[in-house]
Amino acid sequence: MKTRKLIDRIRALFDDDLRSSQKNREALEEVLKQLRSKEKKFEAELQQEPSPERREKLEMKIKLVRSQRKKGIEKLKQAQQSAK
Amino acid sequence: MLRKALLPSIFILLAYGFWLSPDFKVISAGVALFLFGMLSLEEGFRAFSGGVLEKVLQRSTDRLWKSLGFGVLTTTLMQSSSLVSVITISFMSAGLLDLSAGIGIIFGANLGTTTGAWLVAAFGLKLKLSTYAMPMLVFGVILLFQRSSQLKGFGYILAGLGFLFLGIHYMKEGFETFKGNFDLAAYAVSGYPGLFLYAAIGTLATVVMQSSHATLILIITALSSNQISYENALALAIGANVGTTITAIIGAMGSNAQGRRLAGAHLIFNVSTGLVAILFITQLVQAVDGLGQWFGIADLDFTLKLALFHTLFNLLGVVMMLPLIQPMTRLLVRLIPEPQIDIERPRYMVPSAVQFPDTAVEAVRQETQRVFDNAQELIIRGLSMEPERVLGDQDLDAELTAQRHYTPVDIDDLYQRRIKSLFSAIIAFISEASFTWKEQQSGSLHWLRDANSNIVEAVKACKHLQKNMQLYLFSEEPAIRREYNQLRLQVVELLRQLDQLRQQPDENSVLSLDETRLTLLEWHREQHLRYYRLIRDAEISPEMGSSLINDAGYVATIKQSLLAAATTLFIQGGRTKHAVERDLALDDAELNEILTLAEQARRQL
Repeated sequence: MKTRKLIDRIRALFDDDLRSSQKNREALEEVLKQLRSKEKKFEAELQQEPSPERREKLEMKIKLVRSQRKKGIEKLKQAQQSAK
Repeated sequence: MLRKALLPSIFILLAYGFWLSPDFKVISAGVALFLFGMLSLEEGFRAFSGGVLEKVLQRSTDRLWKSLGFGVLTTTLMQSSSLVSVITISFMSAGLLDLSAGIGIIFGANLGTTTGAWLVAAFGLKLKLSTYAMPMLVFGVILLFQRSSQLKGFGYILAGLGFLFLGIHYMKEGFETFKGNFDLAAYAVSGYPGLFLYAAIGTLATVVMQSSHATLILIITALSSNQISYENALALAIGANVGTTITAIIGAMGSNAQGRRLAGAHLIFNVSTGLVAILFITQLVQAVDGLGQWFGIADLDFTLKLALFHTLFNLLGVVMMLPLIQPMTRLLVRLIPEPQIDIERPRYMVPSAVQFPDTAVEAVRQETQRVFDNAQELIIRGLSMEPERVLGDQDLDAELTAQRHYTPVDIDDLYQRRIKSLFSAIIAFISEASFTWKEQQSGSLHWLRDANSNIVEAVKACKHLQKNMQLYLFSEEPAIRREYNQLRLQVVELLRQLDQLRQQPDENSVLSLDETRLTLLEWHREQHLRYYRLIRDAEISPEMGSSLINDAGYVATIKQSLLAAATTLFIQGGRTKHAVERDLALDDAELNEILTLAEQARRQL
């Protein structure tokens, strides 16, 4: 663990607000990671899919995941800025 | 009447006692400080109970030996079997623990509570406890003024220990001076009458103080200053063990059948252990002497011998009763039956569930799931279908087409009896529960309250839908019949999908439900165009068309509301992650934007 991260953890031990914002940021990062792998999975499926109907559905799913990620990345940026 | 007179009588008796003997005043102040210390200690542990305590309890009670060990360990750490039994009762009421696990914890708590006597007998009487009490109180109170709830919790624990020590110190002081003026030992009664008499006194003292710990410390301090005989002290300890069940009994009064059964098990355990201990007192004393020698306890060190006796007879009780847990469970289930399942009444939201944040949230979740189940059944019947067929593996399309007649149900009546009554109880429970809680639990309650409102909205939309369904579902016109069947199909397919989601709560996330919401919006958009086309092609009349447009709106409301409720009820995972996912879930405007972009792309092709 990096020293800075360790110091943050120790500070958070006695500060409820800091701990909850740290937990929130970590959860957000985890969800974004999951969304990224979901997006990659759909993209790979799209490359293999010959049926136009199913391709359309997959494209829609990719758009949905991208919108969710976009929203998440903005929230993460805000959280990182307020933590500084 | 009796209850009203009790408190003033106790006050008068105590005041008379204080006037009569200053030593009695010191001893009583010691008991009061000790009890206050216990309360403070409980409060401290409660500060950590916003999740940790409950989660540990949940995970470590899936086997009998685990629940037994858990009872021993937690009671040793917290030095309060009452707190452990009250938490256990509230967990059982919320449906998180079964009876045998609960009984295991209670047995363990009985054993764990005996460590207190060892601590006091071994160290408490030899050390000058007040020396330790003072700094503890100072540090504890400083911590109480801190903002962090964790530090506050530590403060309560520290101050609690300080008060406990101070209480023991005063009791000891009181008995020391009492000894010079008055000899209680002169009232010693020997033989079985003495055993039963002192056991009854011990029971009564514990019932009054609601703490076997306090009684036991009182016995040890009195014994150390030779105010009572060793034999009578043993009987008092047995009585204290029986009297301690009063806390669990009081706790179970506001509980459901499960909680009352646990209190029953506690009573059976402690009374039978007490009786066996009285009957075999000679053998137990011999065993204590033998073991005492082996442990290196001096022959005349009666306080340590009393601690050993306390542990030994509780251990004997556990060994004796452990094989009887299953028959005892069966007996208690028979003696305290679950009240006739009354669908309109709350089953989990009992007063004891409101004491701990996580159990209260869990109780509301369980009741909300019942509201969902009732609403699901009502909606399916409102659409003239059978719940077991909808939630089974039948081909829904074929099922709907084959249906020949409409079976009407009184949605209003069912709503009043099976949904509104529960919904009102949930609102009342939440408003009682949510005042001092951490944000996390209040947040969970907020979502659960919303889930209930969503369910009610879905039911109301179903009521509106029912009118035209009745009219058109078996109409002579094939087109309108087909369209209304399609509307029903939309709802029941979603219900089947949600039922599957419920079976695998961990495999889904809040965000994956956005896909379903997107499909729903797309369907709603297409439906409008489709109805206009049907009217234009004269397949349905404009009146039928307007009914269909309205009813498709109701179907969309039912689906949206059920999806929103399911997001709260059927998707599990960490609280923080759940909240983050909710934050990232797209709203209707964002979903509509995706649909518009997709439509534009389609047109360009």
